Amino acid sequence: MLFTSNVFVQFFLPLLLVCYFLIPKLGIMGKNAVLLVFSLAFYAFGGVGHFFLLVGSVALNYVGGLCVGLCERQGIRRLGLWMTVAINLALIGVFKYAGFATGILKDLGILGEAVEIALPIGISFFTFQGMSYVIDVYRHDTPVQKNPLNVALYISLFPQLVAGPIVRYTDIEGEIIDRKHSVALVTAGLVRFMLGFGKKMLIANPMGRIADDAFALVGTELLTTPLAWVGAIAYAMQIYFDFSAYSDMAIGLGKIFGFHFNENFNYPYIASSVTDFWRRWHISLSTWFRDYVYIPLGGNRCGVARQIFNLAIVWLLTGLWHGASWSFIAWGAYYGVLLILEKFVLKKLLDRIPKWIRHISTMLIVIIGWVFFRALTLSDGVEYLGVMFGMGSVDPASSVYYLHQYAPEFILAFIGIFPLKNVIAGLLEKHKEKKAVFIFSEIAPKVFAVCVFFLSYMSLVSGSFNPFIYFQF
Amino acid sequence: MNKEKFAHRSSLVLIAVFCVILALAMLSGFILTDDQYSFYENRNLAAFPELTLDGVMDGSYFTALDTYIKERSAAREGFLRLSTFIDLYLLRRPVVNDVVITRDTLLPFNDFEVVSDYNVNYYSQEIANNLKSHTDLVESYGGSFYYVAVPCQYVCKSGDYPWYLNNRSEYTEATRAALFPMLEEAGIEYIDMLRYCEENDYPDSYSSNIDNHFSITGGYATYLEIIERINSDGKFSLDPLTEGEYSYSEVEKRYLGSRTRKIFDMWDITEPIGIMTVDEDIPFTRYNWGSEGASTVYHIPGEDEQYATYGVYMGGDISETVIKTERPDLPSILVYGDSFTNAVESLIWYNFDTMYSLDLRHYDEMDLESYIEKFKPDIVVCIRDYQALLSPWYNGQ
Repeated sequence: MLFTSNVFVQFFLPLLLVCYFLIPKLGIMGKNAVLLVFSLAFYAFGGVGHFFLLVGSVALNYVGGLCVGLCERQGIRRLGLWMTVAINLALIGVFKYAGFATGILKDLGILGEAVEIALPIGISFFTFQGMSYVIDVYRHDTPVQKNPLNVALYISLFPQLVAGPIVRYTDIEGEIIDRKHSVALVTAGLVRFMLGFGKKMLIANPMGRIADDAFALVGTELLTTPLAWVGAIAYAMQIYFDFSAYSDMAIGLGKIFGFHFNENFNYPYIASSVTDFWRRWHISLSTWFRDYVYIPLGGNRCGVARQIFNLAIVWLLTGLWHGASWSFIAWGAYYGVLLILEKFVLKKLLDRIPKWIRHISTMLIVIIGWVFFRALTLSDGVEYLGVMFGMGSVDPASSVYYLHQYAPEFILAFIGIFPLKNVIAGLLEKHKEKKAVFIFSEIAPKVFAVCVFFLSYMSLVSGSFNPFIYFQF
Repeated sequence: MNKEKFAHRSSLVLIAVFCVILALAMLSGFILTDDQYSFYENRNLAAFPELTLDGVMDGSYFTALDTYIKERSAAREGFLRLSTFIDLYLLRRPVVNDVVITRDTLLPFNDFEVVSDYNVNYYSQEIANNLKSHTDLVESYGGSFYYVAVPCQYVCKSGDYPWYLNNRSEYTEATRAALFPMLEEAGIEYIDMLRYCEENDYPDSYSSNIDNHFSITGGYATYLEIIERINSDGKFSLDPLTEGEYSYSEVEKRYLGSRTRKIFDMWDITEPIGIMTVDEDIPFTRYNWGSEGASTVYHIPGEDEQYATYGVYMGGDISETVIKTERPDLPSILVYGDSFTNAVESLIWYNFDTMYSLDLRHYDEMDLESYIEKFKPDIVVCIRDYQALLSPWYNGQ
């Protein structure tokens, strides 16, 4: 189920709120049970077939956790850990990568036909969450959870189930057992949810229409150089506002139900280097790979060659995590190479370059990266880039149309990538002693959020274009 | 002022407002309209999905259910109107609901395209071949076949498009350059009404500012060209309706064209829809889908209808219409094509004993050749608009 679907807004959320808050004498266990039932229903709405996979993943990681958490013999603990991790990887391997791998074997003439398996929604997210739980238990970072319902709730908690952020068990372990609900927290959650809803419906979706149109023209004369740029920039906006909107909604919904999820984005398009960009983009994934892959491989505590190797592994996996195709691998490799260059070769040079040049060059690098990310195949990506850099007509007509037609969305998007909200909040905070400023700072965000939500709901009802990008990962 | 209390109260108000929005949204999800057809969108709305095990397992059932709720929601049309209003007047988008908005004209949005000479030639040849076989069939029993190409709105108003939008002039020219020489080579009698428009400096009255079709004036001009061509071939001598033999009037109800319809008639632009009625009292019997219907060629909207649409002419697109005037001294005619035939048919029946009308998008009782063989009309006219000239399907078969 999508947050921005009619069923979610019209039925799922109201019913959940009623059951969660209005059933009298519902203790924390009762509230957890309500959340679990609704979370499972949320997932089942995407197809009951894959629902069983989610339940299987929960069972696997619960048993794995018990094994590594309760057994005292290190050998058995290690075996339990590796088996759990291996089965998790096997699941994700079969459902996400089998088609790609058998496709390669078919191309090499080793296999007759490539297998086709439908990708379960959010498998990369819930598998990584499950693995992190078992690894954390193994490392003694957290005690084992003996109540299977709590493990089930952690893995399947609907706000972050299908598109992140990747929540660590250690982050919400305490809140699963005991959490506080307050009017202030619910309000903060609602505002965050409504603004996220707006980012998705009012910016990401229109930007997606432009990007879809432009990328569909690869290989035709209709893809002109100006349009290729407009399409690539639109896609950069789409993916940011789409994915960060989902994180906003997840964090907001989490707050409503008393959970505090970590931030997943920190204005990535104001980054001044690729390294900075990846500190700001999909933070929960970057930190997951850092803590569960990079550091265990040795991280920075080894020679340069080993560090480069570690980075290469992490970025190959990051590319693969996003999708099973050569273009995702190329995208991961692209960032791996850039980060290695920044870390070991260009660091001193970059420090001497004016900051605005670094911002622009970083955005250029990011936009080029998104072209590989969005293109259906590696060769499409290369061809698209070729058109961007001059191998196409310069007829501006179609790009002028898109810029004119979607001018309001482009303006909103360009405003939205800067931390203006923080600047305004800082200013208001400074003068909060003044009554008018206080009233404004209390009322304005709420009124703004409600207006945005109303317009977004209008857009939801009146539009039909509504795909979430990060569902495919 | 107690700031904490104020913050708490404002939070409670927000929560209450959010709950009211959700409650209203939920309510609108329960109050679903029974209408299966969306008038302004001119399409059927989603039907309640069929419950199947496969659909439940792969999630397609739930997706279809979501679409059903969205499309049948009682509040939907209100939101569509509001969204259209915002796009038109607040955001001032150049294209709203696929309609290009200019001050005086509402035009169709055409996708950007690369005109492929290969495709144009390929389909032109296919159309020419189809028409040749129809011509041979009609001529085999002594009849005459005419092909009439009529310019649609984007052709007549190509100059009204903003420079950055596609007015399809390149495609139009490529089509003319390819198709008509092939028709000539195949010996097919054709009339190009775009030539008429060019010769008459694109008369404003020919086409509509708010609808894809030509006006009754355009229909009349086409009618005259057809009659003139039939007469010039010498087999028949037909008296075309001329000034003094018909009365022109305008339908009282506001005309909702195909463009204004898409934007909920929210742009301050309209025009009358005219009709030409034959002054002479010629009784006729009309059959629609094989059943006798009202003896009229115009559907004048009743009290309960808010608008007049292009369906005024011949009552809209009907798969098969037959008009019998019981004047055996006159020839019979078959007119087939898309909805552009309607305005012409409301005039051309006057010159014939029997007029058969087919719209092959809807008619499926027999194919065109069988129909021609069965009724052997003296004249067969195919009317196609420029957008559909190279479409070999339905009326282009």
